[in-house]
Amino acid sequence: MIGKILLSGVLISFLSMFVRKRYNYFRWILFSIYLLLTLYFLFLWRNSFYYNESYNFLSLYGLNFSLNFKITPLGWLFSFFTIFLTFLISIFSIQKNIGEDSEKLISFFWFYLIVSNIGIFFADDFLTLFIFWELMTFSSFFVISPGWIKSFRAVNYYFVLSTLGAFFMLLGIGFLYGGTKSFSIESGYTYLFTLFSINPLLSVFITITFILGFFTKSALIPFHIWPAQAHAEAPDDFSAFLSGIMIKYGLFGNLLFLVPLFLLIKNYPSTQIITNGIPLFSHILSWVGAITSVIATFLAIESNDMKKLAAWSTVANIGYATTSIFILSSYGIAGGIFQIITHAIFKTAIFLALAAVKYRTHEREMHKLGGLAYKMPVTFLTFLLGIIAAAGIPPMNGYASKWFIYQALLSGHFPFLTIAIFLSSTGAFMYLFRALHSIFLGQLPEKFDDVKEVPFLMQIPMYILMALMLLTGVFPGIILKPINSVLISFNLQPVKVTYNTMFSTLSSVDSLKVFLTFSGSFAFAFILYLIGKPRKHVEPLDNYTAGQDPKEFGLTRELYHFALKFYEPFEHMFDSYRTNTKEFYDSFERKVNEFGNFIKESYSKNIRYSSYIFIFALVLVILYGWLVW
Amino acid sequence: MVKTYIFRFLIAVLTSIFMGLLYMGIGRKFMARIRRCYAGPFYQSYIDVIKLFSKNSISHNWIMDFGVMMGFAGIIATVVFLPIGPFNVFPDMKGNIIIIMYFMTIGYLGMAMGVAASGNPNATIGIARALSLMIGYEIPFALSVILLIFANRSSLLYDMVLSQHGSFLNWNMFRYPFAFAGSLIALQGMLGEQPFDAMIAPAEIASGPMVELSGKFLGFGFLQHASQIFLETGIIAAMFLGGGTILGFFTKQLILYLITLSIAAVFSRYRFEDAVKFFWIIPTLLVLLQLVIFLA
Amino acid sequence: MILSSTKELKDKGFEQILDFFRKKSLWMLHYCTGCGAVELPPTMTSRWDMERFGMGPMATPRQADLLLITGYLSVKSLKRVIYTYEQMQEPKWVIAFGSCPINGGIYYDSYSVINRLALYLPVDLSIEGCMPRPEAIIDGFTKLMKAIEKGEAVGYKKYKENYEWYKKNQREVLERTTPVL
Repeated sequence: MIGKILLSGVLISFLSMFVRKRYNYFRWILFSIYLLLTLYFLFLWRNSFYYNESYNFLSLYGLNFSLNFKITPLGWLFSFFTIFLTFLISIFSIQKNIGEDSEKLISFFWFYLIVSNIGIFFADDFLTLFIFWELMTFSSFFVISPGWIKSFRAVNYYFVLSTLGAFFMLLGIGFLYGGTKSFSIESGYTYLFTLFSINPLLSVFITITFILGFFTKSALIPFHIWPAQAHAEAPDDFSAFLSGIMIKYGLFGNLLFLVPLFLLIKNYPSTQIITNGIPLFSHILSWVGAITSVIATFLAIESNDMKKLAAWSTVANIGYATTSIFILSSYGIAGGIFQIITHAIFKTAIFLALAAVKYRTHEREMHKLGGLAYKMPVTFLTFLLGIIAAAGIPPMNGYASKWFIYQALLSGHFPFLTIAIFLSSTGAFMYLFRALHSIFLGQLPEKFDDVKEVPFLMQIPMYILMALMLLTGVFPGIILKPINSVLISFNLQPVKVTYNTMFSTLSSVDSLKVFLTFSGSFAFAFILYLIGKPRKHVEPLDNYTAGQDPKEFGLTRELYHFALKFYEPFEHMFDSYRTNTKEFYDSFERKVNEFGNFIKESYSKNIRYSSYIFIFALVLVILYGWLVW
Repeated sequence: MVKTYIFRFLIAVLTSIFMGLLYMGIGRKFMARIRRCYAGPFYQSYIDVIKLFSKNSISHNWIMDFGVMMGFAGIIATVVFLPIGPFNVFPDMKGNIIIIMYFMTIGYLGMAMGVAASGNPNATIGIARALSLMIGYEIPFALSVILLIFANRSSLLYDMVLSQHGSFLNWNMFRYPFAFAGSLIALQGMLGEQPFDAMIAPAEIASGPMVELSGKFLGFGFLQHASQIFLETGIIAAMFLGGGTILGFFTKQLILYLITLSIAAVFSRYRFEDAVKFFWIIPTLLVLLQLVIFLA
Repeated sequence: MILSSTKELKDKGFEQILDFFRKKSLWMLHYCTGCGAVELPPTMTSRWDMERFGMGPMATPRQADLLLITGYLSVKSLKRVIYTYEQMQEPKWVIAFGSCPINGGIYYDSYSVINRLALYLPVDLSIEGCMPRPEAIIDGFTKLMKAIEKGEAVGYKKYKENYEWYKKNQREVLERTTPVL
């Protein structure tokens, strides 16, 4: 059945090519229908775990290459949420493409992304994983850059990084195949585990190849630059998909391969160094996540482009999830997966709200916007709930997942990781408020006086996302119960949780009570508000201007909106750091250029000489093959 | 069941408002005595609040109304989770410190949203400063929270209170003096007293966030500040001064508030980026020292 | 008819109670027009300690109850004062300092200074002296408080009732002195 779904995706994508350009929204309707059908089947499979399928596509000299699919709890959870959120995005896209002469190929390649999405999450072996991984990379390349020069530059960067990561992964897969003569993931990591005691250097190398493969995709340091470019330049509705869903593939890879490996090491600590109860390797990786989140937070505080800001926020959130996952306790892994899912939900909401703003105003730089909340209340509320969730404030879903991460970090005694997460989470509040103010609050510029709320079809996904954010925040058990089955599949203790209460060793929290307390307090505030004398509304420019009449000195609403250089003095604190990094990268660039020129010259100046080198290198490789194999 | 909860909720909220306003009044009296004058009666703050709610007011749009209410609601909702002496609203969540720390932010967010919707740049500049300052003082405060969570193996404030029972030498203030000093400086920043009051600089940015608040909106601001004083001194009192009986708890809160005021009385204002740097260096190092001593 | 009158009576009684709180907490706008401003700092600080009466300076007109015209008022300032006064929220009061706001004082024949403030804004209380000493200022404040308690300080209501008249006067003087560029 999985194969049929994938195949039908391919077929419908070709079908969608025949839709006339005038009716191009019809392609998106086809896309939505396909997603809905997929979602229906996924829902049917909610209890049929470990059902597998195999398709043999090549037999060479007795070796069978086949696509193997298996429904694991982890894969099912990821695929269900990603397909559901993509369905919401596709509803948004239908309206966006009415009347807009968008590129034909976006929806065409998006079908392939969905196909590879399902393929990756249900992959049972490395070959399947890698094939769909590459399909995903290539098709996303074409979606991000439908022919615009600026986005082409951004996507080039993304593409080079992704392919590089994928090739490293292929290298690792090759090594594992050499060792086990199979593509099976499980035998892969058990083999790698045994290799750790036999040949530590090689095994560390193999692990690093996989880490590079997964970390480039999930944009962790030092590959944290690409989302800010690719997410910002991609088509607006696709940014939601990129940021909410696609960046999670790397984390899925971590959960699929690295986490079981490290869990094995943790449970049988024979050769590896164990720090604080977890393998050193995994400890380092969780630090990578924490540092990523801190740096991305500070970069987000500085950015003035709203989509870039949201992209940096994504990187920071991925940082939390990575940190939490590599803690390797059941709370850590549960918190990490929970964070991945809640982040997918609220970041989709945030990006859809931003896409709605851009749909109406065609502006991306925040200081040119302002006051849109008075014109677009639904978009504003979506964004508001989104940032409340992203800042981890109760009772939205972001807080539940962050609470889990803190429980994992604190009960595992990681004070400095906790403080790093805390720093970036407080910083998140800073940049999210900046976005809220600059886009939606403050003064509405005169040029946006006739901006209207987005059409109803675009509002539908926003309403659903708002409800979802609140629902999963008040009843975190909805997501945590499926996560428990994932934990059981990792042979970990499931976390103790009911629909509205989360328990940990340090404390427990009843989200429903938290929510009701806030509602009660709001009701109390509202009663006080009614007791006070009634207020009257005044014009936006009837404002404190130190006694001066704004009309007389030509003050417009646009000029009275404070948004540019919002945290400038704060940014100045990091000036020296910034110049140092810039110098470092500049000198690095110069060195690379010099090296490249040197090689280029040695080739082009003397052809005979360079051909000698080439032949020598070839002989060396052949000799190495003879000697080693 | 629900009725008792509502009753307890109201007790917690009304206590916080009542006591917070009382502390504010006493604080004003105290400040005046430092400056060798008398100031109004100790119940001056109640008069102010009633007057503010009896005045006409303006707002610029519905977000301003909504934001100001949300700001107040956020703070009083957090007070509900604070163990007021031995009194707890929820028997199963006796002051979960992580919830308290994150719930407080909804109050800040609401107030920030309300005043930003007024469209006055002075208000937004004030908010930008307040948020930058927040990233400063939250670090030492969070570090000392982490320290106490490690020490007590529980993230409930009430468990921390219980662990300090007995002689006053059991108080965490004496067990972890450096952490207490760091948190006290953080408290100064949380309450926005000098030298960390750059966000409400009256002559420079016309009292910052409050610039467009009139009548009952300013009244909400007043009440929020009162509850905030109650909440934040309450957290420190429970963490380091051993909670105690209800009266003892109130006394400890008042003493903490008066300490911050007496520091405020002799200091002028830091530029806020300097304040952030200061928070990241002195109090953070103090608490880190304590953490290292504890872990070692 | 009876219903509305009882409601009015109730409102009146209620307002009387509120007036007690209003007089106890007068916040003045920290805005200075003339030389009288120099008398305010000693009034506010420890020597005369205005805070005893629950008074204090406020930064913006939105928060304040009390507008002080401390001395002569040039036409340029008048425009700002009117704008500020209209931004203040009711109930609000105006106190004029010294003789300049009454009859122009030593600036009575100046082209750029108004002679009678009461033509443009409803003055609730004038304090004599040039300039009034802090004792006189505090005495004036206590008189205003008594007036508020009795419900006599109703300048803002007068302003609303005779809005056209005030506007006419303001317009006349402001138009006469618009800068020609």
